[in-house]
Amino acid sequence: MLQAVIVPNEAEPATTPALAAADGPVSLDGFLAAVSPRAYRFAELGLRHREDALDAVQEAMMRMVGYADRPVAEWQALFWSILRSRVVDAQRRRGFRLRWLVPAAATAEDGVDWTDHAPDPSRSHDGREAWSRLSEALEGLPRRQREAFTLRVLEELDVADTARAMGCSEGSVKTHLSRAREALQRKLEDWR
Amino acid sequence: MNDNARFDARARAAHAGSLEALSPRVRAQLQQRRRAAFAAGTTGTAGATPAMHRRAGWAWLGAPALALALAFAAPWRTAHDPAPVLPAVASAVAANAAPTTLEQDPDFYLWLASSDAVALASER
Repeated sequence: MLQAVIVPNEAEPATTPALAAADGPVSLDGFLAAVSPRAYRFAELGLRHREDALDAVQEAMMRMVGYADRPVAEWQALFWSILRSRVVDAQRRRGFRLRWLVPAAATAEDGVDWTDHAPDPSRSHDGREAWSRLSEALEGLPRRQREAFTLRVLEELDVADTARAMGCSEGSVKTHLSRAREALQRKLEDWR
Repeated sequence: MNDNARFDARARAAHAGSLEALSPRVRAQLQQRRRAAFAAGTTGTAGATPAMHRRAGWAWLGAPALALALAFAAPWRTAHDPAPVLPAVASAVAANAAPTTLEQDPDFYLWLASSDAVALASER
């Protein structure tokens, strides 16, 4: 059993999604540091707005701190479950929001956050192009299919954790994932 | 490698590229918000995201506006649209109103002074 430590640190975030499988003590701060960029991309896919996505991630992290005493092995599913519901809430709130009340600066931030760090401009352009195509295709999917594909394929959660995060049965996850793959492969034929 | 596996690998690669390409601004925001989440959690305070502050701001702005609207609407409603009266309330009002009606009826006093009333009172 892994030991949970709730100590904030400034360590560079790890990049592996399956932190629960790591050996040795795992701090909640380390877990959140590692998962937050991935969480941001997940929220961005659902909300298409930088500040809304950041707010959803922060709300999920705040809730997660309250669950710090849970076993480390449960953190992944728990965190994604919380974030998923935060994103759904934000989507519903946005449905009621009057667009004319939103400041112009906020609407200008819509879209995908992207900064080129790669030394090779053409490679960086390819990466951006690939993510734009995938995110647009994902955006066109029904919400449950998008969640299933993102959690199962991109976040590499197993079927049981994906089902827990989505609040549905494992069979439903497989159905949503199968339909998502089918739809995505139709839109991105050259990726097969 | 089958189609699904190839497709998944391609999608993961695109996703990994997107994580590397996150802007410094978003990274800094994520770090700052993580600290805020821990600060709220460890001090036991509720904590609030900018969105929560915005929603609270709208609530503070909305409350006086609602009060003002009610202040204007209430007299208008009283003057133009009398509220429906429940039957129980209506009967109570009628019972209270009856003596006033009798007191103000001159025929009642005329009858009271007549011999009919005296005769009726003596029969009982």
